[in-house]
Amino acid sequence: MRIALGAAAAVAYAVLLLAPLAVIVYSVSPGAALEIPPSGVSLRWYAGLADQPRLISGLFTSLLLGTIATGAALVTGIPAALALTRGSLPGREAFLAVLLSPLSLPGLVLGLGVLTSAAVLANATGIRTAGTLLPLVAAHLLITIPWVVRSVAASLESTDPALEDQARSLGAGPFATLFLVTLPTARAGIVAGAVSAFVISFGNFALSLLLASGRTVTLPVAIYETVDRYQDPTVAAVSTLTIAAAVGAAVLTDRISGPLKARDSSSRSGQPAGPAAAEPNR
Amino acid sequence: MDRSRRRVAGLLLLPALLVVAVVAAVPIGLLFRVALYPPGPVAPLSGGPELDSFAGLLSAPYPSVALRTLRLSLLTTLLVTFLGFPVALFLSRSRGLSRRIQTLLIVSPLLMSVVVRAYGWMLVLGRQGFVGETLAALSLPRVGLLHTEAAVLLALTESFLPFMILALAASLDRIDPDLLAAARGLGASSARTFFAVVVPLTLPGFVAGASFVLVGSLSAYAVPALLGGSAARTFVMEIYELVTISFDWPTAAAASIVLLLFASALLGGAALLSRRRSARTFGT
Repeated sequence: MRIALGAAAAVAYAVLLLAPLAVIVYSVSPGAALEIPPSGVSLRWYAGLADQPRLISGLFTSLLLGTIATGAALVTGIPAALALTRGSLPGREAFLAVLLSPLSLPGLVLGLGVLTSAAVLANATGIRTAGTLLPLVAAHLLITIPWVVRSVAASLESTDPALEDQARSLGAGPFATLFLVTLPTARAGIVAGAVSAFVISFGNFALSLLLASGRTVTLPVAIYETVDRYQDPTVAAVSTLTIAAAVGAAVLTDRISGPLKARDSSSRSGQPAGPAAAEPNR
Repeated sequence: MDRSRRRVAGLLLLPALLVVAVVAAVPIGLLFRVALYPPGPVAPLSGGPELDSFAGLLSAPYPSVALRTLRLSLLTTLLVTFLGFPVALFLSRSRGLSRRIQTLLIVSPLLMSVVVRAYGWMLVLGRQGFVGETLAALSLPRVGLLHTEAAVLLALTESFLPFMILALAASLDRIDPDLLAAARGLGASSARTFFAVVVPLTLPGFVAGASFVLVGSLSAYAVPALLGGSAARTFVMEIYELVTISFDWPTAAAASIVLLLFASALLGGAALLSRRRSARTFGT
């Protein structure tokens, strides 16, 4: 029984590893054509990235966009998580559902909606946002807030509010309590939320496709446009860099906040924070 | 005290709610409005309101494309369930380092861009790809699986497998070990315990996972566009081409609304199902 389960798991993990491995192997191939078995290993396609302005500009656009979206998602998401966990609000579940709802919207449809809104805004007020980063920032903010809210709220729920009451009774003001007690105890959730938010924004494709143009083309959109037209290991090289970053992010969150092992002990209540909490549609 | 506390909480929620209102609710409302204009590549939009762009979705190619999309989504859900269940079982029985490594293997793909993973599948399945070159190296006839429905199905399965594993494993982890001991103590065989206790208790995870996979694969764009192309056109690909090639915004908006309503109905149905189930289980 256990052997059969292990075999099934091995097959599944192999399926999950196949595509990223193919990208990595192709990125170090000596020639533009894929060879089986490979005749050698070369890093020339990584050096060749310098001659691919679209990919380089896409990389910087995505880094900038991810940073702005993550910052804005933290600024809006942490207060929301505080309100949901400490606010004794009526209809708490409904608010949470509204904040998480963008996760289940089809990305391309949402992108079309945002594009339409930008056109309506330009017609009505003359404020043109086409070609700027603004529609992309707004759209990415929408889909990163849920990750911050979920992760920070889970972290706040697992800490004891009595700690804050004690701080208050010892004479700390509300802001001192917030910044010296509440937020530090939720640090793991905040870090995990920030990493998830950045990773989600950095890798997003469907939502960005209709909104990205010219200088605002993001890296996933640039990769899409390039692989759609011709075979080129430079695309594999830049893709490998993003794969390394993704694995790095997973290990980092595991180290800092331990969300990946949070389910290890069945006795621990509450949801684990971070990317591992990718429990759909909660 | 309680009232002022609530007022502060409301203020703290406001910015995030505003983002949802401005970036999700308003755009979707505008799509509704655009869908009511007469269909066609006309700018500026005028006339209507009418339902012609919705009616246009009843003629070719949309019904057959919608059917193919639905078929791919259902098959994807089926495949990730059957592939995911044993993995979730294995994961929930693993401890320590093995569990951490497995979780890393499951979560890491979720952190990679879907375009990068679809690109990986192109490299694997293409005629000049890993499969094709391996066959050629073995002096077998080259087979390219790229631009087939099978390729789309394979890549969709891979992209949604982690979600299903995590959803099922969450359910499995919540099972009280005493329950299994009780079933065994009452004389149930291990097979009976599995099918009569473990499987029913994973239903909440299955419903959550399956609804997410269904909606996600219906809405997928990168995988069908890169791996299927013109051989496996899906509903979302049609929406994209209506916008960028035919410039027919009313029809694109109408198709978007249809997809949104269908996805919402699926998710709403799943939520209802899990609520009714838990009500029955706990007798509330």
